[in-house]
Amino acid sequence: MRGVRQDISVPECDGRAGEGADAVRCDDFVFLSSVGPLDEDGRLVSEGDVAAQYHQACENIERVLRTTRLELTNAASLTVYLRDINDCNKIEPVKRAFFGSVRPAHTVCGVAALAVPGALIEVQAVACKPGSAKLIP
Amino acid sequence: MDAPLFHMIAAAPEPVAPYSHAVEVDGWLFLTGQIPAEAGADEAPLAAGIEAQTRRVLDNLNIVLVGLRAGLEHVVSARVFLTDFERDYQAMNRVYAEYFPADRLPARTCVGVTHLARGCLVEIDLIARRA
Repeated sequence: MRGVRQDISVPECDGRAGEGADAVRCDDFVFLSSVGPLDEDGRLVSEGDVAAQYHQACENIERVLRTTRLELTNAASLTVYLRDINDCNKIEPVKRAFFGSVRPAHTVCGVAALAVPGALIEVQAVACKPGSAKLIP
Repeated sequence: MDAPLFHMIAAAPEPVAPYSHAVEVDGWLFLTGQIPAEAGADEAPLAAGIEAQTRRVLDNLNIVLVGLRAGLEHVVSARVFLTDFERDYQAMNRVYAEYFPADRLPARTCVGVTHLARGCLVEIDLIARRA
């Protein structure tokens, strides 16, 4: 049956309760709200360090995905919003550490403002249940 | 996978660039971002203020969804773009929350941007899934 939907909430994932589910699962896909560099208590981490903030955002995405029995490496698409587009090279080593040879679609863009004060980064992900996509040779 | 369907909705505002109002694949609906233009009055000045503009944007998105036999309750993911984030974020949220059932809020991303089409304050795009 198609269109089966489940809203997912993870306590203190993004520090912005009430604006949307942390994620919405529908069929084989999980659409996540964008996550910022917040710890489990909703506090900003690593002020001024974009690589560490990206690391935290990826961990938050993983926390949300694990509630749906998926992993970060099941991400099909990541959109990274940076307060300073010149930071784009600084997140590359962290990205490689998390994803290795898995290569989700990965868009990076610079923005004028983010919701979390002091955040240099927000990351939005869409994940896909393994096996629901076929490798095209 | 069915062939994608490229939809233009007669009741929605005229596109301001080369795009479809929505593209549909297998019941998934990918909606182009709407700005606060008014259908049938595309040259008219935009409504003033973030509240009125957010309402117009969500009304426009609803027009597109209804034209596709869907509604805001089918939205799974939304992206909101604001040109004056600090000033408009809370007011946009208040209006936004009125449009969605409290137990069916879409996953959401909201960022500040430097410019939007026609100098508007807010643009929102959606992904929906027809039940």
